[in-house]
Amino acid sequence: SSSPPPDSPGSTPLRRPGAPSTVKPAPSPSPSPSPSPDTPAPSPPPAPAPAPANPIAAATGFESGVTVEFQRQRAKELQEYFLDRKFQRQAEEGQIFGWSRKNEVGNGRWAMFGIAVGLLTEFATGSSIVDQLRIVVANLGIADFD
Amino acid sequence: MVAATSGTRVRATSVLVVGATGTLGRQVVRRALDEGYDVRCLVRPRPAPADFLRDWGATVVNGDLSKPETLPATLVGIHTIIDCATGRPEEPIRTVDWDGKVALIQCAKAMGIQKFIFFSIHNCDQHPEVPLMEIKRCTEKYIADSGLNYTIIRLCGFMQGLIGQYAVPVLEDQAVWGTDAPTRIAYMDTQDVARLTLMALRNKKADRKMLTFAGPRAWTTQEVISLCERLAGQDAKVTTVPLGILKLARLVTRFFQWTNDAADRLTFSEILTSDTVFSAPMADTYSLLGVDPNESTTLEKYLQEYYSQILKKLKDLKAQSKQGQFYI
Amino acid sequence: SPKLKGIDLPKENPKLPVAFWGFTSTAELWNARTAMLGIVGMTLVELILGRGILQTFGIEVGKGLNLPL
Ligand code: CLA
Ligand code: CLA
Ligand code: CLA
Repeated sequence: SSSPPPDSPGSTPLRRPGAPSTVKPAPSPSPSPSPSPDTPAPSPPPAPAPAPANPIAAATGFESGVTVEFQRQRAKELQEYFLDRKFQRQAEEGQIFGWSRKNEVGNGRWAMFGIAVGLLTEFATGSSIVDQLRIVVANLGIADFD
Repeated sequence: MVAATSGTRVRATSVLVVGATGTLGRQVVRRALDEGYDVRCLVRPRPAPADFLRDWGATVVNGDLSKPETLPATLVGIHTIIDCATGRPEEPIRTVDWDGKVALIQCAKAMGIQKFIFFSIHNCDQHPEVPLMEIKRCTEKYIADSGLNYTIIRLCGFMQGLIGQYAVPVLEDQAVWGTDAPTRIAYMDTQDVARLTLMALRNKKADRKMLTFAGPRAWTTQEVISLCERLAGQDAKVTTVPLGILKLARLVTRFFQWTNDAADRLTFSEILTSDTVFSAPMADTYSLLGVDPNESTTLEKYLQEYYSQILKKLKDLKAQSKQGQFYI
Repeated sequence: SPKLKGIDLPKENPKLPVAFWGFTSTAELWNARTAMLGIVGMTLVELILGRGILQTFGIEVGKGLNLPL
């Protein structure tokens, strides 16, 4: 079994430089510390620990059955999953040709613009939309309709 | 499941606080540090980082709820998560408050987080038309369904917000904006919220429960303003905004795509119309946590302390308070 | 879409209001669809009839815009 870790219940908590002095916490309603199966022979003190000890560690102990290695492995899996999701979404949105929402809106914007311009020009000049298309094609030198 | 019996055990004192730079988050961090926890804070990477958390002695890690791929790495070695985060008003609600929280809960479940504390809003299940409340309700449901060991804490309001909204303008003779709503809100000091949260964290009776934290007394806007006037010794110039204008503003902001996020926040005005009391009976909660109700700060004491501190400082420096005029 | 083994997705998603009327994405989308159909339709009609759409509706065309420039 593992050797007792440095801040096992009962030792004074490491004070970080610059941290404010530990406030004497109110006596917590004593929850019984669930016995950790791997706790080595020097057993932890009872729940209402003596003042200098860390009452949190004393009260809760190492009751979680999860290891850091397990968490790290799951973290890697999760990260892959989220990255997959992100790339898939980027691939969907980045389509230039295809049935995507952006393409629909883009084509629509061109169409709205075209209708507005076409109708306005027809009102001003009298040439219908088909006429306008013919003029555009002729002016661009593609074909001649005469 | 990879052998949970061999390897380095996750210490029960390791806490991750999400939203540590916020009004509530920083108080939770402070209190947890004072009580001896190993606090890790999740903050977004910025050009000017929030140094005060490091000065207090917490570990700061970079992550972003709207980018879920940054979350798993920050959770390695964590036993408890305290989630105080929410989206800023200029961000769309959905990405941080829903998608981000869903990702966080998924990570917590997958990585064997032993305790998840989530802050929600009082009566969030009774107002489905308000987007944030609807999101909080669905998040609560997801947490309960996920199988995590959780405690959901519903809050009514913070006293800290009243300083900027009412106390400072009253002191500086600026216009105070209020509504004529009869809603009474039971404001609570965030330090008390933090204290009670950490008591709930250690208390097995709070496992898989939903608690509501409400302040000692429920106040209306008018009452708060009169209190500030009394303590500051000055009369306030109160401008009442009729609720109709708020509703109109909400309709207009919903008309344009770019202002939709503001419209979501304005839906809170819907709650202000009815004669609601935003408070809850606290006797059971206090007895469950084993806390004396009289230890919670009342609004009178809170504002009294603020005013006496600031008036004393102003008198010493013979200066004028100009906190509200930050464009000058 | 990729699946995460062992973790369920939320059973209930929040029903957030999608802005409908006004200068919103939904409005743009529907106006876009109408415009696409409209431009194609108008072109076809003009091809068949041989005259302009506005002419068919009786609006006087060819007079120019009286824009003071
Ligand atoms: C080129 C423009 C364009 C593009 C890229 C899209 C893209 C899309 N549409 Mg949209 N749509 C369009 C035009 C377009 N649409 C038009 C003009 C209308 C009005 C009829 C619609 C009505 C419409 C509805 C009601 C729905 C979509 C949906 C969708 C999405 C699902 C894909 C799909 O099933 O499409 C289907 C697309 C169509 C059936 C449109 C057909 C367009 C035809 C093929 C154009 C071909 C030219 C045409 C025959 C004219 C030729 C003229 C020629 C003779 C000169 C996708 C984002 C669905 C969605 O949002 O799901 C989430 C949905 O429910 N679209
Ligand atoms: C009725 C059609 C319609 C509608 C509802 C929208 C709606 C929208 N557009 Mg869109 N757009 C349209 C037509 C439309 N558009 C057309 C025809 C074009 C091509 C020119 C575009 C090009 C376009 C771009 C490039 C972008 C948008 C964006 C947006 C979004 C935000 C804009 C906003 O709130 O500003 C409010 C809009 C206004 C204040 C404009 C008011 C227009 C007034 C009432 C009329 C002006 C008359 C005009 C001068 C006549 C000229 C006609 C001319 C074409 C001949 C919103 C969803 C933006 C976006 O998606 O952001 C996320 C964006 O980047 N649009
Ligand atoms: C004649 C062309 C035409 C047509 C067929 C449509 C059709 C439509 N529009 Mg659109 N729209 C048009 C032009 C047009 N629009 C123009 C020029 C603008 C200004 C940019 C808009 C702005 C607009 C918005 C903001 C919205 C729509 C919406 C709609 C849909 C709902 C129908 C409805 O209830 O309204 C009935 C529509 C009509 C009877 C036709 C309206 C034609 C008006 C009179 C054009 C004159 C506008 C004029 C230039 C004044 C601009 C004022 C300016 C100060 C804002 C429908 C698909 C709504 C939608 O999509 O909901 C989801 C919506 O929210 N439209």
